[in-house]
Amino acid sequence: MELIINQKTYPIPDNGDSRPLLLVLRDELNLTGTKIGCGAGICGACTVHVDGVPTRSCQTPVNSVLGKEIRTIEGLADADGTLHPVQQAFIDLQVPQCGWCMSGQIMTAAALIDGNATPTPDQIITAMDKNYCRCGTYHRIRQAIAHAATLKKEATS
Amino acid sequence: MSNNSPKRWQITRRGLLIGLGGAGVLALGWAVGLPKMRLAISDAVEGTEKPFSRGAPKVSPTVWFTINPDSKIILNVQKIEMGQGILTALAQIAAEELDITWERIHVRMANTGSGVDDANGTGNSESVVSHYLPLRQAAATLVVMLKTAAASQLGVATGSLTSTDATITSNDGRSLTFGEIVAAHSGEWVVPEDAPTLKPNSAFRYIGKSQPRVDLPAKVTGNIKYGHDMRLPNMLWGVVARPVKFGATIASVNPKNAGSLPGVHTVVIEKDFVAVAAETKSQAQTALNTMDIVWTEPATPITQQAIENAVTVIPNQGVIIQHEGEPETLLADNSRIITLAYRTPMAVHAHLEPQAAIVDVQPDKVDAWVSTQVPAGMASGIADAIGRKADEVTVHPVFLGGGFGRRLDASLGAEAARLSAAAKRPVMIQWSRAEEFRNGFVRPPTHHVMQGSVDSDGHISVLSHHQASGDVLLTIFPPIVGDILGWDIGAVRGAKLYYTAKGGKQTIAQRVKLPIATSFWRGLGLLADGFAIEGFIDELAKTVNADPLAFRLKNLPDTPFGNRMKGVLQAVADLAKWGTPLPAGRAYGIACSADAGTCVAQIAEVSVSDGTINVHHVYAAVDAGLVINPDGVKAQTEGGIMMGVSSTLIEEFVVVDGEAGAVNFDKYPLLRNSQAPDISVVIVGGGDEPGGMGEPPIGPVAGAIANAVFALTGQRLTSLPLRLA
Repeated sequence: MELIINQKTYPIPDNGDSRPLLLVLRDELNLTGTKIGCGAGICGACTVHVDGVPTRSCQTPVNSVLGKEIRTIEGLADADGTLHPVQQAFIDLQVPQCGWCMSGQIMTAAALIDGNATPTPDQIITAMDKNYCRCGTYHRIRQAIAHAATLKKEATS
Repeated sequence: MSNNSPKRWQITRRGLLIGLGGAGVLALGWAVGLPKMRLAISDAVEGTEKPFSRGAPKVSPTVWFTINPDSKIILNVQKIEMGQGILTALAQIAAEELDITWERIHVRMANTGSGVDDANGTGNSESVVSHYLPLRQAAATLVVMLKTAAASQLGVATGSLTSTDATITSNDGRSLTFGEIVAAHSGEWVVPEDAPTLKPNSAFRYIGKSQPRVDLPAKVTGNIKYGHDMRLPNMLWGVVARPVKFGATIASVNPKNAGSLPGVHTVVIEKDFVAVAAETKSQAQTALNTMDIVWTEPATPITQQAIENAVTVIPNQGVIIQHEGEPETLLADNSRIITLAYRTPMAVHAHLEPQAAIVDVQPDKVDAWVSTQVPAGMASGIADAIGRKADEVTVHPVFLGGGFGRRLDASLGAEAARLSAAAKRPVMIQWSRAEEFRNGFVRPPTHHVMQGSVDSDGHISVLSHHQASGDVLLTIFPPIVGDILGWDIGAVRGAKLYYTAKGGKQTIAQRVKLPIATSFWRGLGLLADGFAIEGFIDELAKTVNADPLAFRLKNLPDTPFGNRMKGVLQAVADLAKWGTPLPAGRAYGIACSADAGTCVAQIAEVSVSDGTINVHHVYAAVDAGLVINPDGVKAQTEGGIMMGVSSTLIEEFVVVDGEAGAVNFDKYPLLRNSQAPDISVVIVGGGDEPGGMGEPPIGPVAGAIANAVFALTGQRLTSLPLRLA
């Protein structure tokens, strides 16, 4: 079996099971940028993109994503190291505290602004409402996503 | 060793290792159990505006700093970064006194045993407080030592040298970089006899500025390693049998064929410890699930009701920890006494990174990577668990995905060590979310009886706070300590009354030993005590139809402390425009508290819709004395407020059928983005001493929200989480 992650192909053993993508990423491929929080699809820490769609990797059987384009936090920046506008905005507004939820927050936010260049405040809250942050950076997250949309617009104009 | 290897200072003077500040405060008088002595201890511990500091770190430039040949300066600290920005704040302090460019300083968490000695761990809002002066003195001493060496190397007098950005220049124009001085030096370093003169505050260029956090670039790219992310070659995965019921112990074990299942390497069956190590986590779990483990449940079932009954204030029980004037007389005689009882529930930390440990027990040494706030304590705990000496164990610090007081006990590393010792390979143990809910410890429940009265002129005449709480701090001491002391310093954090009561005031702490584990949680008793005191002060204001802000300003003392409290109250009132009309359906509530040398006041703006309390905005004013990083102070204020809002509106941990009523966030939800208020923070005050910031901002939150709900609805809610009638 093979997974396509961040445009690279990773062979993985076919155990004949439907183990979660998250465990394959973290425990088999050592891609630990994607985090585990609850293992139940509630907290959002494990969010990755599957064909561009934000997806809870702890609830995603690995054999359901074979051949699909998986993107994790490690592959969000450009190959030359240029950060995604959401990553840059999260630094500009000094959003992360402990940082554990941030891979999931950033992947969720990146999918939002990649699909909607000018999200409204309500759209931002709706998109981000299922990602817990125990350090309490919620209002900085909202501000940073609005800022990221501006950064993206500036970069493309 | 190559010439390019960084050189370490050699320790040459015992004098440099003398700790500053008053160590050992906690130990004073603990052998004496008389109530008056207890009160004296209470004053000694909490009478100052500082937290109960257990001594300052050692001052040693030779241990704290490493200078590379390129004059990159490494600051080694045994403080753990868990989101509070401590690495950045300490780097700012060091760079300031070294007088170097920001790019030159690099800060890292030091291993235990490296000489950076900090047995306190990271918590208690004291990292900046305890490091501020010692770190500056160490940095200034380092510069003097380098100047002395440079003078020798250049053949000039020390007085002719100036230090600018890691280069020391003679007045004849010649210069040496720090790296060059270290590389050329041989023999002992000359340590100055006297503590060097420190930079005047007016010359600060980093202290007081919002330097960007040094750990954030790696945190937005997934490249930072937390405890849960650590992996070692040849590592096994461990799982441990844990009880589902509170208080259950292992009665018997039939391992069946667990040891021969695929991938299983080691099965450990001991009296109090049953665990499996295997090549993968799922193989280890499968083997554990195969075993028949019989548990002995407690003879008396543990119920939620029994816990709440136990945590109930009983008149004339407890220890008086604050006593001024004659509150008893007034409380007995005064027919105008108002009484309100407050209750707060148990809560979990819900740090989003489940705790994890890798321990590698080797014949001659032990290496451990553990999610812990207390590396030194973890090293001792691991050593004790496997019968090794503490100095054989090296704990390698890791970044923490939230701390909040949860990562203080050594059992995590001890279990991995026992399994590694048996398997003779490194073993990783990662807790599941269910284990975190079931088998950790929780914030203790509290009950508070507030009593008081107000004179017709609007002054408080008497004030009393009687608090019952499960243990916080005593859980980490031998039982006899609690039996002698009779009250828990942690549980009463924030419990003492800071308002003036003309006729007298008192605080009584009633310790309750509970059958389930309670201990540290961000702010310890601060959230609960702030809820009770500030809610009750609002009620007293109402009895004389006083404005809640004006009533507070009138009844705070005319002391430096009282003036700081008034300062933050006035500042937050200005920020929120207290007193100007709000849109229909909105109301403000105000509250304040003090902790760790920091005063905080907050105003919450709330509405109610469909029976749900909405918190739209929280305004905060913070007086943390000397501020190192203003944006860091704001971030900690925001974080404390959000955690407090979550506790105020949502969180409640309960026991159901003798076990955790929730094992994941479906039944124990946290605050979500749509429920999270906007936050505005203003920093006031100043001076020469920093206050703590990790916990103080959580103090006023619940009170401010409850008081806003009262202003809006007339309902005086006295239990957390707040539920409208």
